[in-house]
Amino acid sequence: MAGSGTAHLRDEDADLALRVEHLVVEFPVGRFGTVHAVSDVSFDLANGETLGIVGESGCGKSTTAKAIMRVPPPTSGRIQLDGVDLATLSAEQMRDVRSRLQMIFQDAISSLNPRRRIRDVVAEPLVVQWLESHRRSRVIRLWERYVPRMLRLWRHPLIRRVAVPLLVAFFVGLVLWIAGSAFGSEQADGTRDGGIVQAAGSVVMVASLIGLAPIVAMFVVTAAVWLVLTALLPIVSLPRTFSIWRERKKFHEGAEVQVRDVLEDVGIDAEMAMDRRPHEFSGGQAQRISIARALILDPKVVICDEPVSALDVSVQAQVLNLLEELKEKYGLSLIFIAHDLAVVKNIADRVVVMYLGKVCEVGQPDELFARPRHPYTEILMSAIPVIDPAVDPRAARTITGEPPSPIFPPPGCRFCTRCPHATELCAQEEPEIREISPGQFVACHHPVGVPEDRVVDAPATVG
Amino acid sequence: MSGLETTVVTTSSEHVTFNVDDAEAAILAEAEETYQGRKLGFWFWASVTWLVLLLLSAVFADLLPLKDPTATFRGVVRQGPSAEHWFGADNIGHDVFSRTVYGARRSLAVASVATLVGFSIGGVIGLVSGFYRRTLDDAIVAVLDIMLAIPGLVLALALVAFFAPPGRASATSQTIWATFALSILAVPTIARVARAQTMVWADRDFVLASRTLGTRNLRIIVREVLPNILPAMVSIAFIGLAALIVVEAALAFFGVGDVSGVSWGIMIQNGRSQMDRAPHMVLFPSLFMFMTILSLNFVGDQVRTLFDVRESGI
Repeated sequence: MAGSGTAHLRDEDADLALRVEHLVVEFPVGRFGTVHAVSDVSFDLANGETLGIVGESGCGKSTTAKAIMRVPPPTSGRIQLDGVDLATLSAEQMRDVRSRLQMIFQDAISSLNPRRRIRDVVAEPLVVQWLESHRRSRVIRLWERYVPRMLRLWRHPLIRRVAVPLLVAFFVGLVLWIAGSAFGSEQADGTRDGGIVQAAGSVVMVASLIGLAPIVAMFVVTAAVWLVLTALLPIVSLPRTFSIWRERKKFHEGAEVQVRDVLEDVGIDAEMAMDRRPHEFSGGQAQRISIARALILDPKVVICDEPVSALDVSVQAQVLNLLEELKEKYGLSLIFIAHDLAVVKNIADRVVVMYLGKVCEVGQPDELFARPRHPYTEILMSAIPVIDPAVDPRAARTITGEPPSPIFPPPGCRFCTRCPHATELCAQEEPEIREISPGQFVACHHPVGVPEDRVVDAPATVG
Repeated sequence: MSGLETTVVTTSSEHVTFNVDDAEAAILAEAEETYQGRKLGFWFWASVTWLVLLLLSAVFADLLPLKDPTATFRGVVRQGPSAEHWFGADNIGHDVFSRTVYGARRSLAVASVATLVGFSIGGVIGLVSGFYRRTLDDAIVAVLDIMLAIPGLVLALALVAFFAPPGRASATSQTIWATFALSILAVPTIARVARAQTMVWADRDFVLASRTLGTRNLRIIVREVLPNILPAMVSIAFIGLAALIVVEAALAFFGVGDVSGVSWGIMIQNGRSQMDRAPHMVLFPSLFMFMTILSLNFVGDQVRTLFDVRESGI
């Protein structure tokens, strides 16, 4: 399943809100290992569309979402939002974009700071933006540019490669020098002459010190510049602090009105909620509050990372309806990540199925659910419980075992180790995503129901 | 499958606005349970009372009808408690009661200033170390480990004896160096607690949410992490204060720091040689110290339970 390729992407000049191309996220583990969390994933999101991303735990759904938000940034790939590639922006430039891109988390209560009042939690995006609108002094901007570069210089592999042998050489020289002076012949005046060994030690020590001198000088000079800049910080930030302090009352009055409005929009009684803390709310209410926080900046795209997975079924429905309503009202495009297929089927306009960091299948939910083409999608669909006593759940198509480790993903198709239809080809060659029927794209060498093009009703495998 | 569909879509959007009255009542009840349901108990209030009384009498000692702590009284040398001298008199006729009350001044002042300084420095170090992790954390932890490996009393003694040798440095400089030495002792402990707590809280979703807003690290540390780690830090600070009172007394006992004044440690040191003839000289200052430390430990423990916010309402 492992599909790479971009056949399923729509034209770049189409009415797109977000376009993700060849997204790769990798994390180092241990000394040499790498977790291939997301490998070459592409998808796009039209304006006003809801894109569902489904897949089992650990398939890279949440990592994809976080990579789009750049917490942490992706290893490679392009993330196009309004014609800007988010992946190439600096942290400073990214700050300006973030108001158009917001995220809702799975565990609503944990995503709200237990020590802060709801009014502060919901107003936080406004505050952050307001603080950023006050221009920082030149020294601070210089400091922010300088310090990462200084650290990068210090961590440069070349420095380590030169400094470590030189340090070792210095200590070898020191040992030689001490050994020479300890075992040398004693002079008339009581000192010892180490002879050739001591002389060699001295030469090695001096040579390594000469080699180390420029590195030490670099450390000292850069640290001195850092010290001067840092010492200046408190003084140069005073004017900005003062102007923020002067304007704070006016700002907070305006912010409170906005907080009230957005809280009412998500169905929370602002009067009652504003001065309470997150633990005084139920899971559903907390999720509404975190939706309010995401909406207060009037974003264009909202990424929902399993927003209803932690909620009761009845509350799930409420929150889903709320999201639908708000989508209309605020003109949002949603990326909706879930592992509950029924939820995705109801809310999504387009669904992406992921497995082990790759895209398996993309399509309209109705088509996809009625006629899954990828063996993995088929198995996922058959895992949906059916409320019909005539259906024997034991007859559902299942796969055994865990997905392979993302540290050593299988070559070829990533699903080939568990796929019932896998052949030699699957283990060798990675399938490209291709259009199998209008609007339905599959990355598989042996898609289900093709070429016979027979209609396969997946969930009702047994009558 | 069709069954699941219906579960999800049946609730119409009118039901979305939940019943405010019910919810409010439930929330109020829960809030009451959260904040008032925690019984602090008799011993907490007894400890607080003791500490407040001690603090007030130390601050306003000059206004209280106490005997002059430096005056020597005739004919009462080494006498036990009496109506005239409540805690008796020491080997040169000082009133032990007034000296015990006055002694609290120096003990409390030095220990609390040292705790405050150590709390601030250690807190900042712990926050920075736990928040940024990686190389910076490794370096800071290494330094803290080295500091923890040196016996506290030895370090404090060495510092004070070196920078403000008794007899040569002025009384003020001795007191300042003693305070400084004590605050250095407090730093690693508080820094480790702050660091551990920061690591726990910095991994929470609300910190991630804050990052997705583009919040700067300083604001995340101050607004999101700090309020959450503060209760644990205050709690450890109370316990640290108790430990520093002991160390301050120990320094005075060894004769470093300013030994010309009145302090519990100095009184115990003076009474040590008189234990067989006048045990009350050691007993009363020790008792005051014991009760103060016990109270501080108790309050420190309770503070944490008091401020622990229930994290989930589900």
